[in-house]
Amino acid sequence: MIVAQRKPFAAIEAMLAPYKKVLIAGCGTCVAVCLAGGEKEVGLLAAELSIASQIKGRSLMIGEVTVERQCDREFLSELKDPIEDCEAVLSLACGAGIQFLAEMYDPKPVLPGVDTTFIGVNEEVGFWTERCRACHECVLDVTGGICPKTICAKGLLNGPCGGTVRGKCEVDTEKPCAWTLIYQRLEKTGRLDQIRRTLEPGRYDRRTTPAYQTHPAYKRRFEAHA
Amino acid sequence: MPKLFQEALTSGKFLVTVELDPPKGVESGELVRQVQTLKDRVNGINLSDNRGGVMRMSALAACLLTKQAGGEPILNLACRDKNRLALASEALGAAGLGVSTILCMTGDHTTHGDHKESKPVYDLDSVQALKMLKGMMGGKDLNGNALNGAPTFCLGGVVTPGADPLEPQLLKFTKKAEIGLDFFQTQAVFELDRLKEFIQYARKFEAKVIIGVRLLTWEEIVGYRDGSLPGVLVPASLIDPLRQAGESEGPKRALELTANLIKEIKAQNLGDGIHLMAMGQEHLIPEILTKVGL
Repeated sequence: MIVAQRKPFAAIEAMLAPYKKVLIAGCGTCVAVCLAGGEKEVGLLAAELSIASQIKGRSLMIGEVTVERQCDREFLSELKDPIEDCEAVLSLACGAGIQFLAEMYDPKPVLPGVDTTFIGVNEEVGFWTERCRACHECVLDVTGGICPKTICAKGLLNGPCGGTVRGKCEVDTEKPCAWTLIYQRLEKTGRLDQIRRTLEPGRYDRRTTPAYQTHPAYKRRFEAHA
Repeated sequence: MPKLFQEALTSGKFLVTVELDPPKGVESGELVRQVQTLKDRVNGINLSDNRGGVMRMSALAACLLTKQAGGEPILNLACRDKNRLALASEALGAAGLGVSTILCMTGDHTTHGDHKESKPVYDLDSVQALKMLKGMMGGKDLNGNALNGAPTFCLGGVVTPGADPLEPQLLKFTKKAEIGLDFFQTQAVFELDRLKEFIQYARKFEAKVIIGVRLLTWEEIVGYRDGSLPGVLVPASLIDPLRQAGESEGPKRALELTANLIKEIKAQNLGDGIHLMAMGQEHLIPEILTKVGL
């Protein structure tokens, strides 16, 4: 899932300052799970903004809506009427959803209500950790299911740096060194040979421009991107 | 003393290298004075590359200043600040200017330094970077393009013998050793038992191993905890007495500790030389070398 956190209230207030009629648009998928931008968070933020504007004697009309996913045109089309009716939209979706919404309803100002933080997992309610950097070149088969590009602070592909102390990371001594974890997991299962060969440098040319991908079955339809 | 570091490496003599930081600014008088004091007592002078993520004059510029002052420079090249193009062009620049000894390392993370918010690079890791540099000696860049004039490098890598667990370090060390490096320089060592275990393994390869010895500062002694010095493990049995000795005695005992470590490394043949890191206390290096008879 994509993890995000709500922007500080003061920053949201400042973004909305030029507008008197705004729509807060939530997203019912990833950001709802990480308690940043689902229906509940839309309601809470609307209430906060409403109270703050009343205290300051400022006129602010707030609409609330949450769609299943903001990264899908089908669901975004549901927003046509409420968006026409407002001066600006505050989207609580991840960066992808915010951009898709802004593109679809151009030139309506669409503002980010959250900071997107990472692709991660739900460890427990209220606690998420990063697991993937979407690098286009997954090496998890070699590294025992632990991503060195994400879990190692330096993204090293061929073993630990010299800064690890007692199996902990140089950058955050509370966290385990990714390469110690990789080594130990592979050792347990007799797969150490996998990491004895040198992994080649990453292919950053594949991530220089915004990526696209086409499913083989749809190649004809999206010929330009095939 | 052989003039070139490469010659010293193969001389069979116990090597001494030191580490100097390029100036934080353009005032290079202090660096030049340090080089002039040390040049006849050491086989090589490492010029650190934004050590600890602290921005300083470029290591290559400092290498040239060192050379002009009569010292034998070792260019430190960290993967932290340079992508593959910058690493390769810096190395070519060094070779073109007559600085052919390169110690290539991952580099302390930017979050340890004075530009914590900067974007760390790590485009290549140290294994990949060393492999690239070795390949350049064969006349090809990383992508196989021909070089107009191949450089001759004396290549060194870094290893942390004090790492716990040691095995993951050995895995990476092996990858570097198999590239065919000329030498390794270790992270600062404080526990000789750990060093013995490592050196036994390292002897399987041809590369010389220069053992890192660090003169702890009083601030490092007082603030020491596991992880406070990246890659450096100082056992309580060594750090506690230094701390208890107080601010005036503690640093003197740290110097004694450094001298004793060097003596033991030499006496027990635990390495091919030592690399002394004085951490801003470079004026004490001659005293330490005299104490240990080097």
